[in-house]
Amino acid sequence: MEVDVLGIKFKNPIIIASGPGGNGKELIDYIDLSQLGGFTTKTITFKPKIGNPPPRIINIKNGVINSIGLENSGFESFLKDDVPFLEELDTNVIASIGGYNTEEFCYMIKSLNHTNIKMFELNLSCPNVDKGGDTILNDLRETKEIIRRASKITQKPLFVKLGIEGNLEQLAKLAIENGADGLVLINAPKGTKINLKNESNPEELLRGYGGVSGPIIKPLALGCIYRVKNIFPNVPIIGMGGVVCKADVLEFLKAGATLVGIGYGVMMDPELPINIIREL
Amino acid sequence: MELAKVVEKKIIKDYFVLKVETKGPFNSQPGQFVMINFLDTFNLPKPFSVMDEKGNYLTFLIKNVGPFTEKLATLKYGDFLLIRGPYGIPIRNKIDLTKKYILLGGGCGSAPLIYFLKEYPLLVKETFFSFKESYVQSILPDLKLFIDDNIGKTPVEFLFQNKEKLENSGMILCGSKGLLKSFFDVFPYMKDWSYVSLEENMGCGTGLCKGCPVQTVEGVKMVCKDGPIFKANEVNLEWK
Ligand SMILES: Cc1cc2nc3c(=O)[nH]c(=O)nc-3n(C[C@H](O)[C@H](O)[C@H](O)COP(=O)(O)OP(=O)(O)OC[C@H]3O[C@@H](n4cnc5c(N)ncnc54)[C@H](O)[C@@H]3O)c2cc1C
Ligand SMILES: Cc1cc2nc3c(=O)[nH]c(=O)nc-3n(C[C@H](O)[C@H](O)[C@H](O)COP(=O)(O)O)c2cc1C
Repeated sequence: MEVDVLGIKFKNPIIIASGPGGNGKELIDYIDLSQLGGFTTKTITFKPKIGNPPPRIINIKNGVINSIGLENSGFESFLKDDVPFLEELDTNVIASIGGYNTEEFCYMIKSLNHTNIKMFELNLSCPNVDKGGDTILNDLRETKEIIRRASKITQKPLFVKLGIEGNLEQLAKLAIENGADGLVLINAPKGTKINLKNESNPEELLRGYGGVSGPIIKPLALGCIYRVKNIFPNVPIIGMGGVVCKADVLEFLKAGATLVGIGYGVMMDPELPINIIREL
Repeated sequence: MELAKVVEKKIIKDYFVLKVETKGPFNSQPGQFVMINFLDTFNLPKPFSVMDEKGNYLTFLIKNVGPFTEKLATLKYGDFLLIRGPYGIPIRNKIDLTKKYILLGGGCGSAPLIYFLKEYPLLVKETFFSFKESYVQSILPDLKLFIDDNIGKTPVEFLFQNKEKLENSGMILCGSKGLLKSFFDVFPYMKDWSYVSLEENMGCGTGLCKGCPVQTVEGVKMVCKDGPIFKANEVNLEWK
């Protein structure tokens, strides 16, 4: 099931979504990454982020609410400790970039231009940081500027990751018109679990809400893909949101995704993506 | 994940011992845990410490506290589960092997310590497998338990009145954050001689998702991959 995305060959349409697969090193203990179509890094921020205090994971039926807070050791450490490893992988690596402003985004992309990383994904939609992508998407001028400048400084395909928040059609249009080559749909929508037994802190998460992943968001993800595909039939879409079996993959492809990302499914079982690839 | 068949369940009120048969040995060591899931859900799996492993059999001690453990409690002989693991660092790999230890488990936190006692009796000075209620003894008949209701105090209160027991010994504690905090409130000086096995709600259980953090003197670590056992003086249980 080989797939061609803007001239890059993927062995199959299955990629690891940003986040739950770490930066790859953690995953090689469990699966052979060379069997994957691609691998997306955890979102890298310019400065290190220690992430949110516990709890970071709230279990819900058919999914999870996470409040990781983009824990990562920052861009310098990524360049030194992760890029050499990622460059050796026999799969397409997509770097997920999360800056706080245009300069940070551009600096990171420039520094990765000469590497073997195949594509960039701008995370403009993380639900778990105060000043990160979330507020950037609320600021259409800055969003436009980031995408416009980022697309100018790299030859590699540039994807923009969106969520369900905001006006999807408008944001998709803005991304494409300013140079994005494709879209990643969807990031985890914001959600809250209320625990009636916990009087003092019924939301449990310190921020009150987190990002919802897993099969519970699948219809939302398919809906976003369908809506964007209607306006931009030729723009490649990396679809994700609750993919846990072969039938899910086929549904995402049918809805218009070119590649299909798995995040939550890796948390259920790190071997799940490989098991699905075997069945395709 | 691997299929495992329920071969024994001993249940008393909210506690149960669950024994499952796996295809091959898991080669778990005391302190390690496995992730368990059901065949008919797309929910995340949940972590449970191994209380014993022999041949192709794994045994767990589980308390019914919510939807997942409630469903585990309804399993019958011959039912199947999914299991992956073992995960986490074995207790033995972290502790000072020249010392002898007092084991203090709170409720199901006793499970890994029961396994530890069985495998390394020579490293153990005394055990406090503590439970509030005496009925738990009926499903763990061969073990000496510390029953709060029978003794009239918590194990921490008991140790406070018998401080000499702590002299020259190390401690391994496993239980809720509440238990660990109450122990070190009373015995702050024991932090240098103690190891704590932490419980944090987990996502993947394998160090991938960064879902179970603990703040340590060396930065944020993951309970699943870097623990669950840590030196007590290296972790900040108050991180909020
Ligand atoms: C490394 C590790 C080993 C464990 N070993 C065992 C074991 O041997 N036996 C056993 O019974 N349980 C063990 N647990 C805890 C067990 O995973 C949880 O009790 C279980 O996930 C609860 O799921 P639930 O859906 O039944 O309840 P939930 O609805 O998830 O929880 C019910 C209540 O328990 C609290 N809670 C849930 N999980 C935890 C946790 N991990 N730590 C503290 N409080 C929690 C919740 O805040 C809530 O108040 C272990 C946890 C970890 C991290
Ligand atoms: C634990 C966890 C961490 C995540 N971290 C990131 C991240 O760093 N960057 C990002 O763009 N998306 C992140 N996501 C979102 C996923 O990449 C994905 O968009 C979303 O979870 C929907 O797909 P899924 O249901 O297959 O997980 C994370 C999701 C989870 C569950």
